[in-house]
Amino acid sequence: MAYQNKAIYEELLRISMTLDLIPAEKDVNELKDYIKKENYEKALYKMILYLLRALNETNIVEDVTKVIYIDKLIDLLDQFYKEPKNIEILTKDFINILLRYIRHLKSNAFIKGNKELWEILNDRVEDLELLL
Amino acid sequence: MDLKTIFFNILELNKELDIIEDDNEILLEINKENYERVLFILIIRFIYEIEASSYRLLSTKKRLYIIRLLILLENLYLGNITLNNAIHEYINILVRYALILRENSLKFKDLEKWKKLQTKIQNIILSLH
Repeated sequence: MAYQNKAIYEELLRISMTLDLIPAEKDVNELKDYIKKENYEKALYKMILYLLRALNETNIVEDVTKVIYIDKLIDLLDQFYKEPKNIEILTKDFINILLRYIRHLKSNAFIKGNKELWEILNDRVEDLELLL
Repeated sequence: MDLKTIFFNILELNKELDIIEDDNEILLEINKENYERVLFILIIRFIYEIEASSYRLLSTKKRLYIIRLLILLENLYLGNITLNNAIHEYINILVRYALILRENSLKFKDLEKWKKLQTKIQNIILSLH
């Protein structure tokens, strides 16, 4: 169960924090707690919602692309209410969307203008890819 | 609270507001008394509607509505809120949205349609008590 590896969720959390997706310190702590307790399902659900929230708030991603991301994330959320659900596959799908979103940001002035941020993010993405 | 009646009334209001056209999936879940999933579907459809209705809402308001709905989804899924409280919060957002449409939508400038909408809002509020 490679995708249920704690290290992957910790890396996903780090990436979410680097992207400033998590609204408050208490949410970071809650996520850390879920990961510590190996409650990956709840951790994943929260991270999907935070990416959705960021997409809702950003002006960086144009509307058409935004709708595609939102659609994909909402489809993922929907899977949480259906049985049987496969957290491994859901995590894999979330990582795909997140990495695509990061690549999107990379081609955008937001990250181009912030070399340091991009380098940190790049390292974290590489770390995540090594874990997969 | 009679949840079945509440959700039927909510569904009627959603249809009146053109948020929901195809209600098969929701009716199926209501009949299975799978109310958490019903609320999930309603919230998601509402998010889609708000996302698509930029002409009806200012973008700041649109974002605020979506954030409130996402927070509601989060709290509901993580068990930070009871189903009853989640229903109340959802209805608050929905009714507020309906009242905005009263101001902005051509459909509800029509007095008959506005009265129909008002009745559906009242039905929801009455079914809560």
